Formats: sequence, C-alpha cells, structure tokens
Amino acid sequence: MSIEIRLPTALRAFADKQEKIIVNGNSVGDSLNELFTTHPRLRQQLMTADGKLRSFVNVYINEDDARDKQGMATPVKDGDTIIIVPAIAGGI
Amino acid sequence: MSIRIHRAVEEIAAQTCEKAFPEEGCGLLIGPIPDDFDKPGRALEVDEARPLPNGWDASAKTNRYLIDPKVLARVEAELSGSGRGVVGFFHSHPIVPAWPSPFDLTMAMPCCSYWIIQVKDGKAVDSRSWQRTEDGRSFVEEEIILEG
Repeated sequence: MSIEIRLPTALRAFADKQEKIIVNGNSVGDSLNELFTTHPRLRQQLMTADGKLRSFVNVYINEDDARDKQGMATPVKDGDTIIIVPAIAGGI
Repeated sequence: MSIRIHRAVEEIAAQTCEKAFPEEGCGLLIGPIPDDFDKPGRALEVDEARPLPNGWDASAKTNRYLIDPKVLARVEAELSGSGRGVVGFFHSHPIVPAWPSPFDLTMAMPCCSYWIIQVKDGKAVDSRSWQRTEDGRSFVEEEIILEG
C-alpha cells in the first residue's frame, strides 16, 4: 500500500525537510510507525511515552478525522493521504 | 534567535487582536521556511499574517484561542512546494502580559514562533515572541525585529 503522509511546516525539520513522505501501511498506525522508524525525532514530537498520539495532534485520512473513524486502527488503501495537522491553541 | 516581521504584518496582527478584545485574537504567520528552522538560534522572517476566527468555545474566548485545524491544513496545502510555510502563530493576551502561559506550552509545536500581543483597553500595548524548545519543556524568547 503506497500511502502519502503530509507534514506541517513545523515538523518538516524532523523529517529531512520533507513535506510529503511515501510509506507502506495497511492502517494509520502502520503508516505512522513506518514514518517514525525512518524519522525517530517525529515520534517524540507526535507521540506520548506510552505510545498514544499527543492531544494536540490531528490526523486526517484524506478529508476525514481519524478520531471519527477507528483512530490508529483506521484502514488505509493505496493512494490515500494521511495529513498531520497540529491543533493550534493556547491562551492565558 | 530572532523573528523579522514586516510592519504591515505587525499592523494586521495588532488590529486583529484589538478588534477581538476582550476576547483573544489569533492567526497564522507565513514566510520562507529557513534551512535551520529547528535550530535554537534560527532567524525567521514573516511577510504575511493571516487572521483567523478564534475557534474556541464562546464561553472561554477571553482566555483561550483555537485555530481550526482544517483551515491550517488548507493553508499548508496552498503553500505546498513554494518554499514558504506557516512558520508561526500570533494570538493576544487580553490585559495580561505577553508571556506564554502553561497552557500555551502544553499546546505548542516546535520550531515555530509564537508571537503574543498584549491588549489593554482595546489597544495593543506590547508584544513578545517565543520559540518552544525541542524537548517541549519551555519557551525561549526571541528578538522581534520590525522592518519595512
């Protein structure tokens, strides 16, 4: 399965400045694991120590939020795009 | 470590935050992506501010802001392949100083600049810019250089 992962500007420095990375995977989790194997600094930015996505990280499969599907277990198919988008928030 | 901001950009961001007062205003900072973006000493240039609605729940917009991730994804797609990107974010702190809060730190991404504008009585009175450390434990203040 050829899956394209798109990274936001903020994270590309941890992936050799690449914006789009092709991985193989049958699920969102598989695909991200391959990404993290190649670019381990990304894992530190996106995952907690116990292997969960950090709360401010959104993952979309094409246009759909992974949380509205099966999360990391969401199946992906050849040609799908996984888009990683930070939730930008803050305040006083 | 510095952030170079065009005066026109400063004006747009300040006006956005003043208009939002007493709620928090927010938006994207766009510019060339530096080769050393992840380095603590990097110099950033911002040539565009894109104000966005504060997407936080209406009951807490006076002390919280949220940028719609789908809007952010669209802008990133628009800038794809151009060498430019969303290199930072601005938001306001109504009344209180432009120092990042613990909540700001919890939600911050690496590399980017977080430009905070203090607004008092509807007027922007101070601003400071910050970069989160790679380990996520703190912010480091960066020099703001206004130009143009």
